[in-house]
Amino acid sequence: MIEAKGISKTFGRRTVLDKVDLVVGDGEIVALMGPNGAGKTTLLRILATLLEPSSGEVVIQSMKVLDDPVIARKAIGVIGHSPYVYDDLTALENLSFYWSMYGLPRGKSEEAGRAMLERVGLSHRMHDRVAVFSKGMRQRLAIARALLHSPRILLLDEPFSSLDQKGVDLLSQILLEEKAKGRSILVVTHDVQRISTLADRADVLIGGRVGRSYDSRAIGKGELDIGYRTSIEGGIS
Amino acid sequence: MRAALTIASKDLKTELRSKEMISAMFLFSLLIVLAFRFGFEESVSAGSVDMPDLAAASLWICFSFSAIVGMHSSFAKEKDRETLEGLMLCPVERSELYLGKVISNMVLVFIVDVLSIAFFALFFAYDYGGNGLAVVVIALLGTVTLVLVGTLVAAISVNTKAREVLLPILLIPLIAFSVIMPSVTLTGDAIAGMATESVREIVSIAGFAVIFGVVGYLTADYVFEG
Repeated sequence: MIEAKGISKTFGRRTVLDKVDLVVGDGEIVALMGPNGAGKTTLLRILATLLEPSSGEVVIQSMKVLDDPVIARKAIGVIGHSPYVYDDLTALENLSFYWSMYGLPRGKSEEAGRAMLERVGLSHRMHDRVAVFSKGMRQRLAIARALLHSPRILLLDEPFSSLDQKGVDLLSQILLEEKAKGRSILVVTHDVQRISTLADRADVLIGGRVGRSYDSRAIGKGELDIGYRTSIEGGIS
Repeated sequence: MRAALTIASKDLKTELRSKEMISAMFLFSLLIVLAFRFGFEESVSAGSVDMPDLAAASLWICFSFSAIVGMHSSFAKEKDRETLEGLMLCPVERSELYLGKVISNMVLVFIVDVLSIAFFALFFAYDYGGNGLAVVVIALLGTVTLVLVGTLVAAISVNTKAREVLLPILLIPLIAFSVIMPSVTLTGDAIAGMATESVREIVSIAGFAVIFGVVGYLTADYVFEG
């Protein structure tokens, strides 16, 4: 479980997040939505330990992240705007590098890397340099990188972007499998239709606050779609 | 230490394939040696120039400027390709990131140092008075200090808008008295066969290496989070 308690973030005089509370439970997929500039990515970066909040705290499995961010990072897998992979390394070498950086057992990196590339449908290109990969293939590799250390928390920022339909279906399948393993999954997205089939809850962030929350029943009834469109047009329904 | 070695190994592997940094550093060094060669052609031919002093000065210009080019790129590449965030997400102490970059920068800068020493020997037909090995050892000592402070400053400047300008502005005053001046004196003395008389310079360079190393290691958290 990951919990954001009263998170605020200011850059100079601009308040991007204003006392945001958010909980993603074990085995839960939560969508974080909102118009551009609402603070979604900032919140995700704070949860991922890439940014420190101005106030408030992030708690993972009852441990305050700021008390020991190094330990917290072991539990977190992130797919960001960038795939965080090296063009001059092959797909397998990239995963071996991150395997070692996560302090995972030596000698098993290749086996784990191959298995992960198989899972994201890149096993036939494992020895190719990432420089020749398309954007969609890089995104698949980013998925493999984020899942490599079996994190209990998955933080995904627009993970469906750049993926073709097959890739989107594959990622959806992976998210459901990870959910079944009890992972806590937070997905920042604008794709209402796609997330409606996956999310247990959707929180809409507006002006740095959680403006509205939709449970799975409301999402199923199409309320998220209407509410999200209204929020983007400037108001909270 | 495992993470530091993993980062260094990754950096060297990617550099070996792309040759982006090393080729720029190599050409920079070659250009400087050539400029000195043609600038001092008449004096060298007439034997009116002190070769140990000329070698020491020109070599340390090569070492320091090519090191600045290389150290700037090592972080700028990670930042521009957004892989620095990937490193920041890894469960390792920031001091390991610093140490990893120090190791890879040190290897690359030292390779260019050795090439510069060879270029000078080639273009000036000079054998360093038979003390070429001493020159290499001094280059290594100075490079360790230079890279320890340079990597720290490169990490500080990489998150700023004017990073290309900021790195030399911050670094040159720091290295001028701590590394460059004693290293030039030491190199000149070594070529003249008087390295043993330069204990003060050796202690000074090694002392600054320890200071910069400890400061870099201890402040890495603040530097990388900044």
